[in-house]
Amino acid sequence: MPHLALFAESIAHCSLCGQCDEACPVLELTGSETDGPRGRLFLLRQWLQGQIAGEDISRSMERCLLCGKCGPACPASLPLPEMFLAGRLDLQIPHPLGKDLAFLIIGMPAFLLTFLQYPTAKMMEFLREFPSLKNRLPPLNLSAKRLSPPRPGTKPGVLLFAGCLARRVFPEVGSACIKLLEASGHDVKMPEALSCCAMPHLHNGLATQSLLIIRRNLRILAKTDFGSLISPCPECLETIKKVWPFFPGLQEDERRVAREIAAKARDVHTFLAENLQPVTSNEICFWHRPCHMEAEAAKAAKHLCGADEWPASHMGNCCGAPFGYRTIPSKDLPQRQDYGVLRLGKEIATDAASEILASGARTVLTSCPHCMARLQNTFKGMGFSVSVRHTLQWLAQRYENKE
Amino acid sequence: MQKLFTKLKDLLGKENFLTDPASLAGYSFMPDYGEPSGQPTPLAIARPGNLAALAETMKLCSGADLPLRIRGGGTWPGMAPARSSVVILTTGLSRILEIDPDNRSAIVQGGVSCRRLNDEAASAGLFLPPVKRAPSLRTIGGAIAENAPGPYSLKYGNPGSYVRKMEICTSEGKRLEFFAQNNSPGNLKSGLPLASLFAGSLGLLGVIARAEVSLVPAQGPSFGLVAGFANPAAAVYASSAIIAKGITPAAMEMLDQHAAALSGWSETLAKDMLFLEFDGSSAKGDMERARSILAANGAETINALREDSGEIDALWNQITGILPAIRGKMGPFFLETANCPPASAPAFMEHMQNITAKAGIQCCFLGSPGIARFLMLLFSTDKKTVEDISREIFTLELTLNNLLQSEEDLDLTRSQCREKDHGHKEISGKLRDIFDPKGLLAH
Repeated sequence: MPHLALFAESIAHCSLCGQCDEACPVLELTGSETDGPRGRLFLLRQWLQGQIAGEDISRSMERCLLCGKCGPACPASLPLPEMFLAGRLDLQIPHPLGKDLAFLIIGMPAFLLTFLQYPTAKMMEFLREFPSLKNRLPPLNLSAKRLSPPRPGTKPGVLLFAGCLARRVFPEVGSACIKLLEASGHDVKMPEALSCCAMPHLHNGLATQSLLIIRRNLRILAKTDFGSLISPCPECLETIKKVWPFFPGLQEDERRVAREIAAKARDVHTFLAENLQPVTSNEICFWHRPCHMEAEAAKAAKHLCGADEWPASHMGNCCGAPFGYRTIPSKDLPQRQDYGVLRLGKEIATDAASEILASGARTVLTSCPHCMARLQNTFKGMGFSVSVRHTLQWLAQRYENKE
Repeated sequence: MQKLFTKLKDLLGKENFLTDPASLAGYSFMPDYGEPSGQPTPLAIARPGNLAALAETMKLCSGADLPLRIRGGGTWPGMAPARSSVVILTTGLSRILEIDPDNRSAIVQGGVSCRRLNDEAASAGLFLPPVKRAPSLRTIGGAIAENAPGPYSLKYGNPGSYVRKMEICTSEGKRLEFFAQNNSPGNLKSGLPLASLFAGSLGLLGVIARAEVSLVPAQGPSFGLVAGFANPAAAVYASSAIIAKGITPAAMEMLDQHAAALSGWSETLAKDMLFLEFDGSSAKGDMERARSILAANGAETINALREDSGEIDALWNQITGILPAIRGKMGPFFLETANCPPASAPAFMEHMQNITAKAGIQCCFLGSPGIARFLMLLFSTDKKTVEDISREIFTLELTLNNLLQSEEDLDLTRSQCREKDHGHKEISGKLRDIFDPKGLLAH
């Protein structure tokens, strides 16, 4: 159990008080002890002690959202989300379609994107040079950013780790991030070959593939000179800060780089708040706090958007987005391997969406592209027209209007 | 056995009758601050969703002579499952049946979360004081069965004193309804207050399936004081001085500087501390009077807190997290509870300090000096030293109280208490025979 072994002491130090359970969206829905962090930790402890078989606890591990809400709720500050991630990796939970097929579906596209991205981006840049093609090409506007050395007299360079969704599904979020960083006087760098933070692979227990992706990112980042690493995705940021430096299998020099990068990783809103003034607007939106966003970061985002008085979900309801990493329809799966996560994810998302609808708000601001995708799909499925936007999009638009 | 389990699965539904290894292990533990120890796993977990299903489940299990273990939210180190037992989860009994603002009462099923009840009662301007700030996992049935003093017991008493009526399900599946004798409006009945037997019964007589409880009007925002002292005994002396002057804070908690430092208080703030909360119409005046008394009784620092600014909530969060936080930082420790008559609290505190100092082991003290209930955290790997301390403190308790605390005191390490039994064990045994003739709910 290479991943879990890192947390053996913390697992033994838990008193099973249950305060973490109060923050768990899955437990709130099912009421089952093994669906909550306390029960899950106890099962990991039993597994470490050889008192229960790994296959018997996989259901409990798989039904964890890895949303991270239990971590801050622990009075002993035990790294609960990291323990559950480690448990999932060590269990190597078989994907419903089998590990090989899962790798083909989930892992291979990421590999292809990772390895082919650079030449693709270069080719796109080349093609854009032709006036007739310029406007016909897909909006790979993020890939158009190129590395530039820091200009003398400007602030230290910022490295943008856009993450998969802000690059391909919501490129407008990545563009807004760049606009705001530049407006606050920073050089923005975005190495073309950087892509996935490896979280989708981690969610599926694909340890080997995760390690390869983390290593590749570290190699690229080690060659890049930057002052701070910024991401519009709190989940990417958390993975970089909390998973990369401790991931088993890294060489010592890779781990050193991972630690250095983690120390430079900063939330985009707290970073922007140092240079930008909050916007004033009469518009009232609903504020959905992403689970992976730290309290200080959420405070900064709300402050910048002038959202302190906006309606917000109680304690920040999870939207169930992480269960969306399981993209295979449940009807195609044998019941034993489904573990009901797709249904659970849907119910959690419906609860979050219903709370928003009940507030009367028809625009939702959040700071995570995963939450955006999940909430947009949920509202659509429920038949409601609600605009879900990233705080950076909202801010960029207001600063643009102001100018 | 298979036949019985099939019957129970049909009765409760497969999602409410669990026999898979993870669920069996997942319901085998309780909060534990000591060395993790292997718990026997039960045979099955049953979660009835209504009172009829509960009675039928108990009856079927009892028919097969299966030991039964009642579990609510699993928030207090209570009854761990026995080998070959069936765990009866009360969390399926989660309906709030009525909140009656006119009668200031609520009728709830036993598995209702204390916090949920208080959240819903708040919309009627009421609350159930003993479980204010209870964790959301704690159930009403569990709170009554434990009847454990909470932070607000000084002013408001224990959960058991709020029960008006109770429906019990015995191990044989009989549903019985009892009333309690208390001063709630409209509840001045004569006769044996049998419901009171179940408050503090630790689930040994039956399951609290439904309860009617008294609620109290909300007391408005409260005010608080945090005072720092040179030593824990000084804090306890100051708390006695406040009560002697006729002031009754809603809550009064003490913790020594070791506990404060270990649970994450900053170095500068970690003193031997006394925290007082005042509510009701006289809260502000009481707070000012208490401030003067604290200053005259050795308080080195005094800071005021307000509930409406979130300061009191934040402090309570820190206080309720102390034991898990210390466990996380220091590893296993022995947790000893001790109580005495409130008037003896300062002397008792000094005695406890002397006993642990003589043994030369690291120790933390915290507790509620107003009700003279203390917790001692003993950090030692030497079980014998800890047992010696425990025995010495228990003897001190008996000398001051001259009475048993509870069923728990009849355990082996405290065998000398049998001399002070005063017939408790005999009568309690007979009562158990009445409600649980096969002894299926016994420890």
